[in-house]
Amino acid sequence: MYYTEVLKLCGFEDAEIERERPRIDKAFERLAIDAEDCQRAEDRLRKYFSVELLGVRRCLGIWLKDLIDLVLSKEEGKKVVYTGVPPPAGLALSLNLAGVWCGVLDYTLGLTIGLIFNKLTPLLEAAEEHGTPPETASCSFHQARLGAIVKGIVPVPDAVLSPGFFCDQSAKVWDIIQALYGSPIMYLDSCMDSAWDEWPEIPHRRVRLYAADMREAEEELESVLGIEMSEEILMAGWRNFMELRLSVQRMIELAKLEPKPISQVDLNPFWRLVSVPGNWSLKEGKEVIGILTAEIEKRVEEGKGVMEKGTPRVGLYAVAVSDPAVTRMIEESGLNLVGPLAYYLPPLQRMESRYTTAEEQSVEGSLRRGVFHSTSGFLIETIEGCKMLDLDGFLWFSQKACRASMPQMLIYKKAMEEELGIPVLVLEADLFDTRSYSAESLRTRVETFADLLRERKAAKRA
Amino acid sequence: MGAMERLSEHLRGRMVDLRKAKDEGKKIIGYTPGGYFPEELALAAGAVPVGLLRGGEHEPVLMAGAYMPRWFDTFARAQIGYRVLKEDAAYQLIDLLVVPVTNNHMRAIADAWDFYTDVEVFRFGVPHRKNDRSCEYYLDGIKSFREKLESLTGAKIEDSKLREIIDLCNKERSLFEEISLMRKSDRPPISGRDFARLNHASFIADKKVVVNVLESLRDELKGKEGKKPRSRILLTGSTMAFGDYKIYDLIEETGADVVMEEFAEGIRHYWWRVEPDTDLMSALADRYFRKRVCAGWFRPGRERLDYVCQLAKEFKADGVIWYQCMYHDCYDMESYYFPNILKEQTGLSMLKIATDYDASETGPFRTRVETFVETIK
Repeated sequence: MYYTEVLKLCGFEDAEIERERPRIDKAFERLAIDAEDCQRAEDRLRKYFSVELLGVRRCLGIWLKDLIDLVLSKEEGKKVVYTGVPPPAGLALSLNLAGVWCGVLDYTLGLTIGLIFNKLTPLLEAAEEHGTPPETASCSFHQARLGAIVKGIVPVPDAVLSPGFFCDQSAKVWDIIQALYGSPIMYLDSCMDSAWDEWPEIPHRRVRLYAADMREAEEELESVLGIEMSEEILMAGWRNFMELRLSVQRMIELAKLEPKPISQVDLNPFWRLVSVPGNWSLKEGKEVIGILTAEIEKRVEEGKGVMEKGTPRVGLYAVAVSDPAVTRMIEESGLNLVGPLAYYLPPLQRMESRYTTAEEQSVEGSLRRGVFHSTSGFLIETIEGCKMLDLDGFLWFSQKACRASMPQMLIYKKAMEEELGIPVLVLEADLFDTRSYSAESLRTRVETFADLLRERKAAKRA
Repeated sequence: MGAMERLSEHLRGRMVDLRKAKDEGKKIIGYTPGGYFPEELALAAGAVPVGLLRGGEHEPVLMAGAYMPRWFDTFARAQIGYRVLKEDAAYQLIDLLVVPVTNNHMRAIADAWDFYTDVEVFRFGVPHRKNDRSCEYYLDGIKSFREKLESLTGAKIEDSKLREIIDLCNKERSLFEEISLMRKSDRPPISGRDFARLNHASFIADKKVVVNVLESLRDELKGKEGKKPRSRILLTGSTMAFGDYKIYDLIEETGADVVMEEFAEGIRHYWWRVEPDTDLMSALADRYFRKRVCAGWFRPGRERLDYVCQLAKEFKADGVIWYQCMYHDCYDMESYYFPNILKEQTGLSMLKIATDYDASETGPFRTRVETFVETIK
């Protein structure tokens, strides 16, 4: 079949492809993925990914399986719940344990339709006809989600868990979905109102409100979906999430080594396994992370790396989700990308919790990440992370039109340069939408930045 | 001297008055004008609240480019621009900036002022849904604000004083409502533009002067008939800033007029009173959070959309113009599905306009407004 090779590159076994063929056929037909798309995906995977590593292949497969399950969920009698960022990850995994498809649709699409097939544009264009036209500078994450639903390639949700305190736009896009299809929405609310000097203190008021909303959402989900969200299943979801987070720690330690043993391109889909986990992250995530960790360890033992030792180490907050060419170009310019920094947590985030319930601990966990706490929290956390990792520079690869997670680039740049004395490059780009920004359009700036860092490093050595 | 002239005269000297007050040790409290700042508290503490609501000019927006990414809405960007331009004394005189954090754009204002200026910033959150625990959250926020004011001014806010101020502010609201309701007439005695200017002045002027002016104006307008507008427009959207009157001018040029406006920011909300028969802080939270019709960033924002339809019917609007700041995402999204709701409930049409406070917008806006007015009547 036209998709056999691409599925193998995504870690599928022959027998599995054979067994799943009717489902794959149906899902790919609905997704309008044809032979040409699969050829493009195959070329892309071979060109940009270390497909010789089983862990990398299997990780891509996890995302693809999640997509196929989602596309077929309605006819297979599965309820669908979409959520957003920051995801109530424990609750999302509990829902998956209860037999519901629950995940952050934006990422499921970005890592499959975008990253593997390079075919997000029709979804973005569909969204532009439904409330997020280009002149509104809407976030491409939300556009991908909206476009996929209005095009009918993924189901209209049975319910939405909308975490709305962080990104207004994300919550508001669900309101469009509700206006169009009447989907019930459970809002998880709070306010980004921490004082500038409040980090790392987590205000109880923020935890209390969000956790109460979460408890209410759990009850509503039970009645809307007709499922039981027992204490056991809620705790199991939370436990699974923590286990996933822990399982990636060794991989992070290895990724810090020099020569860098693995490309950020390969790591990109792994980060999302633990930050926005879905059903297949639950089923296979830990195993696949273990496989890749062992493969990286082997490279380290053999002294193999993807770039020379001594390459300037550059911190980053985010990488392009859907376009591996951008990350590859940055690495080929001679920059050792360290991050996303959120995964290289400074020790202060490992404080003991003062909360006891799953909901409260879940919120507290989110707010311990500076980005969800406050602009100043994010800034301090980033600066501390840079110090801890002894970085030579920082690259803010920004999400065009983001009003939530990366809005204060100019503040970050100024503060980091002053406090750390390292060059900071802000690249206005897009993590999902490749129409306006490409590797080539960013290359000159990145190469100049790399030259600057190399010279600084050489001068330091001299 | 007529009431409006008296107000203009007061405003001309207002910055000098503020300077004097500051020199005498009074604290000047700046705030973002989203309707969630309980000015009663500031007044009861003996401080002087001043709304930072300038807009409509492109230079501050351009200036803001060095401080804020362009994806924040125009009004939010302009606020740091006015501060660094140093042309508006109100932006220089404040001792404390209070930002009720309603959405990402307001948070950006707080961040920019916190980082780039030496002005202290006080934030409290405004949740995005209306229920008991959200109201409790807001109440906690304004209680912290009260404590902040007491420590800043060194004056304890006594309940008796607060009650007195609540009465004064309620009086202002009643007068605004009375004048606003006169616009239901077929020949409104006050133009939309004048009403907006009057409303804007109330964010800056001394409260007692405003009340006095409104009383006189109400008496002047009673029984008066203005021009019959060619079309009656309801103007709604994210922000109507002080000085941003281009849209009013364009509407008036066609012979139409704005008979009602509903904005989240920049227009004082006067329909609801504080009812001080219970605990005063709870009464403030009830008025500012619970009673006030929610803004576009609430989830879902249906209450506001239904309310706009209701206003359109009550004020016999012939059409709705949705005027918002560029990149105000929540409003952009609501503007997609609101026309259907509006059509269903009122049969009216809507024109959407998004501004970046740029003079070059005037031509295209004029064409669109003229066409819209032609179409609706």
